[in-house]
Amino acid sequence: MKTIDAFGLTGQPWRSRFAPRRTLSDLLSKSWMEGAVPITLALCIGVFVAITTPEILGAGDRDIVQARFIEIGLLAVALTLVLVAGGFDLSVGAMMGVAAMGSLILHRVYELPTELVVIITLLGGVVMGSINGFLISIIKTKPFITTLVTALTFRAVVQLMQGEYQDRLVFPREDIDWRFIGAGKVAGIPTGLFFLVLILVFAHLMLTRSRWGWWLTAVGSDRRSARRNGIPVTVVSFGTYVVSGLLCAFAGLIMASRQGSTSANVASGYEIIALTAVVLGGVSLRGGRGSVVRAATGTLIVALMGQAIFRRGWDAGMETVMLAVVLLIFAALDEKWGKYRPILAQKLAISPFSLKPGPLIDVTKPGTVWQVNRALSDADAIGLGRIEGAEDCVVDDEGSVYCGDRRGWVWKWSGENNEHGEVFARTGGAPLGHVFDPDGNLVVCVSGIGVCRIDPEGEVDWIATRAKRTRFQLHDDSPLRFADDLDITADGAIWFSDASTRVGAANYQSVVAEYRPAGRVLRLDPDGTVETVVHNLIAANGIATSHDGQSILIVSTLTFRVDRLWIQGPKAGQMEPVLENLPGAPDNINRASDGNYWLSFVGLRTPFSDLMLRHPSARIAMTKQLPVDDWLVPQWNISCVAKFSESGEILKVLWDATGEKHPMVTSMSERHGSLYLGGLENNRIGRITLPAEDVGDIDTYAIPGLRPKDGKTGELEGASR
Amino acid sequence: MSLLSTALEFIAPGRMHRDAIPPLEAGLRPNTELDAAPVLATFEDRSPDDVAPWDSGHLVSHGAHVTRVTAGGTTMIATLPGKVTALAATTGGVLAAVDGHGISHVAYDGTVTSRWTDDRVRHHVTALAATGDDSAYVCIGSTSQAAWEQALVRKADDGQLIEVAGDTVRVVDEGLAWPSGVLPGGDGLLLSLSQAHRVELRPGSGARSGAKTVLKNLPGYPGRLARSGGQVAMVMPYMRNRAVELVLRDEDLRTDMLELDPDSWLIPRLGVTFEHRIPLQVGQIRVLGEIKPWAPPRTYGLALAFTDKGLVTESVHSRADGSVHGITGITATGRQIALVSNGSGRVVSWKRN
Repeated sequence: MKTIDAFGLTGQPWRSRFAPRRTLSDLLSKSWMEGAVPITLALCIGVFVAITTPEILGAGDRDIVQARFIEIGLLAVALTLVLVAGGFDLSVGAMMGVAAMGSLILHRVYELPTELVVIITLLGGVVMGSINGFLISIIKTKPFITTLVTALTFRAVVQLMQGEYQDRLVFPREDIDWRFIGAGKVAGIPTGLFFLVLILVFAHLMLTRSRWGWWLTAVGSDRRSARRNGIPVTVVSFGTYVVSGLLCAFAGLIMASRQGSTSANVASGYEIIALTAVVLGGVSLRGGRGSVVRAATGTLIVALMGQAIFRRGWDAGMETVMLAVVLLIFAALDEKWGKYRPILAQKLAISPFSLKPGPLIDVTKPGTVWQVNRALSDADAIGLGRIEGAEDCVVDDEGSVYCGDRRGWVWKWSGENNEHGEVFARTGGAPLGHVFDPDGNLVVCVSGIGVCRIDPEGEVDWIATRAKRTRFQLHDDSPLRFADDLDITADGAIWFSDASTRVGAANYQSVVAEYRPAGRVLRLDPDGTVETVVHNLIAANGIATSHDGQSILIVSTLTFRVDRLWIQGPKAGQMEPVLENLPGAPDNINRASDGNYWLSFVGLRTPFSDLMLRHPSARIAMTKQLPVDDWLVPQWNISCVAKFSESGEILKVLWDATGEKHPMVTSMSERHGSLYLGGLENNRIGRITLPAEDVGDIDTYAIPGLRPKDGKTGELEGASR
Repeated sequence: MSLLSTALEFIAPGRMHRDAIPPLEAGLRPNTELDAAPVLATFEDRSPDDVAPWDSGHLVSHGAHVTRVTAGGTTMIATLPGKVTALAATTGGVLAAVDGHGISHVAYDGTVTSRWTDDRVRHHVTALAATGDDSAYVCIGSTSQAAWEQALVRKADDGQLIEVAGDTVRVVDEGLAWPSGVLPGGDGLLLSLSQAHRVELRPGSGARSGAKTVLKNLPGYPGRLARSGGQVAMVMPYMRNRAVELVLRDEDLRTDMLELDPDSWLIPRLGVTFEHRIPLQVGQIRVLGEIKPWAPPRTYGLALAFTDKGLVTESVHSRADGSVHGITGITATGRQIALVSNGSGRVVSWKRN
């Protein structure tokens, strides 16, 4: 079945589909946006440098840029991992220096084979990293001061080594294996670059796709929460310093092999270059956010900048100044962008829609079918004071009432007057719509989760929790955030509404403030697949299979209408209106025993609430300037239940005139000659005995068109098991 | 809010001043004393408006009538030719402002004598205060609007303070935001300006120059005043509401709202009996069977006492979940005060500490 676009029901022009504020909000909410701005700016700098100093792209310069890219890149990866885990490592340059000097000594003075030099150097890196890790993670010293001290110490070690061995270091030793590290190629790619790319891919996958990566991010975002969630914070933090030492040692090895520099200043100042590269790549200095790929991009730009400054013949000090300026700008950007991006996204999230509802029927004027009465005012209360917010209820063969509760429970009220209450099942979401399936299981729409099936023993089985994501849409609409009401057809399919693809029942006031078409109706096939059948409804709510089983009735609460979706017969796949321009906001819908339908109203439209619909900018001001408790809503404190015929004629209306007992009737269910009333904000289920003229001989719970089982009409022998 | 002011606020937020509705705190801390207060009389038609002292009881105006309220019951003593919009005690009876007619004297025995019928005091009188046998101060809420809510939403700001003495009628000041209470005596003349949320102390003549603000940016719209035990007692018929102020700031919405039936406007009210077509706010929703006492006020009951320096010393409330709302009339004998609740139709008594 092709998805039907119900946008036309709003009566608004096509361009109203666009919500620029909300689109921007969706965009800003994407996690990749966090690095997008810094990296875009960094790329701009890179392009600017390349255009103004094109020589750096020449063949000769390329090797130098590449060499720097490899060495700083390894440091940048090391630093990124430490930063993401919420730490800091100033000693990367010094560790690299120790490794470079040490490996050179091992190779030239002790003439060890290259393989052994590599192993010893890398182990040395691990030891150096462990020193940092031990002090910071176990002794719990501050990362900044600790690594500053270890950096100075490692630098001193380099000087000591250089002083001790400088005479014996000057003679190079020819060794093809040793040259391979700095100048060799693997599969046509320089060795260093090959390993850097390998490390980048591995580190990226680990950081984004592995448990270790998630732990790292969690520790960096909020150490305390991470610990409370059982993450071994000390081990994770220690590990990052060890990995950092290892990568620095590898960078030192490559440098030693390439340059063979015996200076005591080898790799000095690299920590600040690596830091600039990392910050350029949008890795947050506040921990928890960053990517090694972006850090590598930042490295490339830093390498280009350095070479450009060299080419222009500027003083070497100029490079430091430039890097410092860039570092400062990007650090400030990181702070502000990191802080204001989510706030901005939140502020723009509500993007009110303009709607012009038809003329409002005045229910207070006598003489219409809508005339206010007291038919619901003396309803018997079930579960008074114990129920908290039962949107919907159903009644089994024995007369027990099942209803939801905002605490996630499904109540069962049994006994002669339904006085015995027990928690029948716990769902974890907000149970809204209820219906019995032919096997006697309770099928429940749970806001925040999806649709579940609860067997007569109270076991919860989730049968739908995701829909297919709409393609080419920024917002992920695959979760069922606001599953609201449902009904079953003879083919076993469950048709259910999702009032909003954006918020759940707890935030329904924001749906009311926004009035934007974000609701949908879905069909859960018996084979378990979920498909969207109607989208762009404003607060899709009540669902009922028609008496002949040929169509589904769909309530759109905030467009004040009921539509019929044909699922069989010549008009299958078409929607047509049943009720339009109702004086209130309709909620749930159910079959009545006399061949008509019951429709509940969550509340009434008022002239002022209609006026607010025409003023989206006033609603923006309202959501921005006023606390939620001051937001304007339709008259939710007065509501009614209406009965209407198949042809869409309102036959009678039952009111609670004062709204004291049933101020917000969100559902009603007819069973055994009584009408049961639910209320999303109420503390009871109401029951009234229907007058004889309202009661017919149709079983309201039988699924229309379903062949009777064992001679009974339709359904439900399961409920009495 | 213009772009410029937005920019200014961004640059120097500390220098921007915007009147936020102050919370009810200190002397205005909410309680439920009005709901528990002794009831002196109940008017089922919810029409009582003002009250004046009488020998051993009170005189209450309701509709076009003046009724005597005593411990023994109520007796209607006079019916006037129009709606009585204010009462003030004077020698031998009360002065009553009769809409469309002028100011009359109602003697305790019910004899009505017309006193001032000048055009300027025939309409929209909101408060009266006698200053002698033959003189009084008169508050005209608005010269163009008859109803408080019309003046509020239309931002009329064209009320007057008038002094009548003998045969002369003199406009003391005009262009006022719904003056709704006047209290001469002591060191000047207290004037409450309902739609400016302010109470001023003016010099004895009532002139604007030399006026001092005693209370400003009140959380409600002040009303009538009475002197009580060395302090001033005042009623607050309506409370301010953030959503109402938002509508008043939004020119488009405000002008569109004027086209609706005033019964369905978003405005503070004295009382609500049938809310089917009245705007609702989220905090006012009946949750689990209860209206929350802290709900944004649509109707509210409040009377307070303050010193001549403007320090609120005590107050009695009926909160959103109460019923004694829309306190319009007040009269005091020492620390014993009678209050008229238009919203509930009750006359209640408040014994100050």
